[in-house]
Amino acid sequence: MTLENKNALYMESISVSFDGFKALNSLSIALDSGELRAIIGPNGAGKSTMMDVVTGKTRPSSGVALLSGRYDLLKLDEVKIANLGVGRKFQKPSVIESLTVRENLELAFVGNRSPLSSLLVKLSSENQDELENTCARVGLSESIKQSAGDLSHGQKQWLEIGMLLLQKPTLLLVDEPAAGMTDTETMRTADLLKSLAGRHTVVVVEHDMDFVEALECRVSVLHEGTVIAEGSHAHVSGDSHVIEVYLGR
Amino acid sequence: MALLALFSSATFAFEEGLALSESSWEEKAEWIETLSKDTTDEAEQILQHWVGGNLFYWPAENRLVAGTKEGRKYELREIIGGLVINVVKRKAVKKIKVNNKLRRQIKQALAYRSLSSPDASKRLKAITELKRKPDYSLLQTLLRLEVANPDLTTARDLRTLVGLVYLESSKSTEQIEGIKRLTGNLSSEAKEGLSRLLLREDLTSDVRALGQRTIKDIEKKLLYWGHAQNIVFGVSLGSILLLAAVGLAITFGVMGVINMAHGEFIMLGAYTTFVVQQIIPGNSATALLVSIPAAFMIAGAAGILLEKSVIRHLYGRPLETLLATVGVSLLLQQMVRSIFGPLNQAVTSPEILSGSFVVNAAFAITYNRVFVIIFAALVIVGLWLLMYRTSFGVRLRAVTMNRGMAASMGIRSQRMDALAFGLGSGVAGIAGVAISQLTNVGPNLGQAYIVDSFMVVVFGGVGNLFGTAIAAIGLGVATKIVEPIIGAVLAKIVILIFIILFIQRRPRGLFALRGRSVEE
Amino acid sequence: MDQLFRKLTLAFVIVVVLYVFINNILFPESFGLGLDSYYLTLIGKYLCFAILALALDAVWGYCGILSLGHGAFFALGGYAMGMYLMRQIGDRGVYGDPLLPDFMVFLNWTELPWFWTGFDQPWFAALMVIMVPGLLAFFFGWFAFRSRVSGVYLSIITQALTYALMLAFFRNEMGFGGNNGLTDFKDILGYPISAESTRASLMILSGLALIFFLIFTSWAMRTKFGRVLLAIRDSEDRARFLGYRVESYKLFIFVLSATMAGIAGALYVPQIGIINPGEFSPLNSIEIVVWVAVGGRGSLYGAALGAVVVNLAKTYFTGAYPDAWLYFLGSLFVLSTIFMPRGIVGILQDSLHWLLPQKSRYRRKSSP
Repeated sequence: MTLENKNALYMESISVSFDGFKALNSLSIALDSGELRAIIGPNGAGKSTMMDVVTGKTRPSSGVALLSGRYDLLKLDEVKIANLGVGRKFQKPSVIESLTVRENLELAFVGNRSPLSSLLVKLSSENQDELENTCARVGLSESIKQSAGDLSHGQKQWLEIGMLLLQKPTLLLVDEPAAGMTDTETMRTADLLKSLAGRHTVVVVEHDMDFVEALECRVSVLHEGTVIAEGSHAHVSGDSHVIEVYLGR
Repeated sequence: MALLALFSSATFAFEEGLALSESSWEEKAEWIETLSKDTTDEAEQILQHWVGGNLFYWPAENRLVAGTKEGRKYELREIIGGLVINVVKRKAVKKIKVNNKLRRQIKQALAYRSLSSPDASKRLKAITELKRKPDYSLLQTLLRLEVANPDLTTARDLRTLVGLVYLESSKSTEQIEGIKRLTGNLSSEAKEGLSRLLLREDLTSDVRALGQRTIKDIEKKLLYWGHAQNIVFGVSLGSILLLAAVGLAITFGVMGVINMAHGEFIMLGAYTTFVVQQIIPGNSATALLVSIPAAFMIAGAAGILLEKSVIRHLYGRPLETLLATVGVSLLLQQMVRSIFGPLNQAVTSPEILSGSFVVNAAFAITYNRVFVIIFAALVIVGLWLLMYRTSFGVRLRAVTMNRGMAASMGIRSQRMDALAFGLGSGVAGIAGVAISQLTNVGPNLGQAYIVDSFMVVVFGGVGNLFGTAIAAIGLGVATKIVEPIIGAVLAKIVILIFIILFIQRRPRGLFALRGRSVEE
Repeated sequence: MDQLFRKLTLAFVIVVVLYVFINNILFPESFGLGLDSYYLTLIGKYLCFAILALALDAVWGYCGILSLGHGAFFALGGYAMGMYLMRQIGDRGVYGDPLLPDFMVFLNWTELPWFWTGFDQPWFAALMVIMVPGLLAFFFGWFAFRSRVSGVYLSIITQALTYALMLAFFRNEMGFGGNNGLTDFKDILGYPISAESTRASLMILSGLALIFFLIFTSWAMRTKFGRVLLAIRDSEDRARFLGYRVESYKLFIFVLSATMAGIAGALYVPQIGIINPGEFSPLNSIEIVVWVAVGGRGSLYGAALGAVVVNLAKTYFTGAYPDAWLYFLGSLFVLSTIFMPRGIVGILQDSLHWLLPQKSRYRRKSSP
């Protein structure tokens, strides 16, 4: 195999179109293992579609997408991809509101996912500890018995991130984590994401430039379904094309 | 002329009853000739009795009577009307004899009489009867008639009959003439006649080959016209489905809500037609015309009421809406049952819609089917104009596509919801008017349509007028093509299963709006 | 608190079963407190309906699958039982044919269709009671869930399913008695079917089945399995991206629910004495939905409660004011969805909250 082997995520020439509208236009992107990457772009640039392709929700008409250089993402379905270690946080916090925080975390915990085994399994005490640690890490220890529906918006976002962590993903896709958060919450989230890099490969899709700056990582700019600039935050914010795209319209 | 007395009102001359009974065969033939020129019923009856061997001369009263043997005696009846006059011994009457030659002569005379009757329905009846048992001896008579008879209503049948009679000939030239005359004739008699001919063993090879070719050709044409007939039936069924479904397509498309009471709005439209007909009795054409706007208004008003009172409270909860509207459908059914009774009510169709349009023996379509097809087409064109050529339509489609965006552009989406619901329900009411022309109107009428309508909407792709039309016609035609093969009930099951499988392959229908906005 | 109501419901069913067991089976003569056939049949019927409601609640209340065709599984279980009972008639039918049921003799059939073989054996019939609805649910669900048909689409195709089955069973050629269905049963497992003791036993059996299913389903819903179902109901994508094969879970609970419905149907038929294609009618399936909605979905015992309450009302109305029943049922649909989305259970919970104020807890979302 070639270079791509060491990439945690490798996408090349991915195109997706909906009724003639090109949501992704020959998109190529490569992420190193353990990297934290921010992806920015205006509305309709194809950020969510890109996530859909990676998680198997949308099938592109052409292109290559490999996970860890080995798994062909285009041939696998959402569940298989999830079980290979791709976690996804949605833009709208999606936790199971009728379950408690603990129950939500238990659901995310790695393990056999078949219906029959789910009737019989119970978490071991070590796993319980790990669960509580993760809960503490996302700052929800006090709410562990609370119903997820009773959490604040920010708490739900964190709970979702906590759930993703318990999935032990190699690749973590995070869609607009800062949406609807207060400034302090935003900064705490940025710190949390930064601390995840290294052990996990993390992709953050964001609108909020301040938040992206706080992440202190490589940034890819998406426009009309393709990457138009890549580099540090300072680099891309000086790029004339990027400025035109963001401010010109 | 003494024999005049033999008949109550005869206009022709006989020598004498006794003379008739004792006359020679030649004389009898002359009498037959005379009688056959007589246009009265009596003359015909005399010939009928004569050919059947039931004509007698009754010396005691010096007149002709019809007689039948009852045991050892004879029961005498009036020639006309068949009233029993007397029962006498064998010796009291004299039979007017008949031989084969005379019998043939009388038959021809009778056939000629009925075939040249001024009453078209009588002529048709005579031809139909003769076609059942073509008689070669009638050939000359028929040929004469064919030249003499320029009448269009029976010309086709007469031609068939002549062809059939030719087939009965033993001469191969005449057989070929018969086959030629029957070439491309799609009536069942023609096919039977040709098959009968081919069963005969005395045919020349030419005739046999020509016969086989012709029959094959007929079968091919029959198949072709049969398909054409099925397709037209299918289109008319599809038009009904379309009328029933298009209203649902509007409400489901705009609001993402299944109105399970949609079928009952169709029923309301049908009952409106019934009521209007009671108010304007005797003029069903006017009543029908009045019913169309009336049904639209009533069903539309009911729809708006339903939207404002129930559906609005359940916005964003599609399954709850489904349940609540199921409840409304039960209420409406029971309401109609309470007012009009549980039995079906008959709605009479206007005169112009009765009868059918006949192309040939294998292809005929009733006018009310034609009406439904045209009506559905008009409704669709009207809706299309409304949706794509008016500002109301633009706003409606805007709400369908993006509720939030439409609202931010100043479209009062709540008002649009109510109007869309009213429009969809009103169209359902119009569908009810059309359906009342085809079937009886009853409280369960709506139930038959809700699943079908939904299937059509889903099959065609939600929120797509064009798709709905294609899906409805497609399903109608498919049903009518499958029906003759496996029967109506199985056809329905097969179509349902097909749609279930189809929805599973393409959950967004034939002409789906694809893209992210629909996915989420 | 749900626990409390569940236990109360269970206790109530147990009391009814014990009462009948003591007064109708153990000491039918001594106290004279035994119920007569009419009430035994009525209670038995309610118990079967409660199982059916439980089955629907498991898929609708916990997994968000609104089936408008659960009556079909109930009817199929009923037909499997009916076929066994028909074979038990033997030569006591009107035509006295030792092998063929009356309706087949009437249709001039000379031999038993292949799919009737084996139904003279009670174990085979019992197997079919579970297998037939289960397999139908399996194939149907396998297609539907794999292609992600959900929401109202799924509801309508389940309705189409039961409608198609109704049309099919109305046909004489199907070999299930056509319009008239299966009836004139004589005995079950050798006991005369109309004897009071048989009726009492069948009612007790239905009660025991209900108790078993109540305990079983509420246990299953408390395990991780139940939580995955709730996750699917509340956020299908979340469940999928957590790595749960959503369609497998849906299929699992759908098949389980269908077999429960089948068992309810099998218990229902010998008590009522007839099964005909009317059981497949879409309205029947819709009524089941209303039981669950009125009782309160997503709580299991609420569904059972709803089945009994609505059917008590039905028994009353169809007897006293037959015309009013559909008005009542229709209004029940409209009013319960608008004004009491959480059903009787919701009212019970709210009133208890009012009586014993305590820390508020997020209430389970009522809409799937």
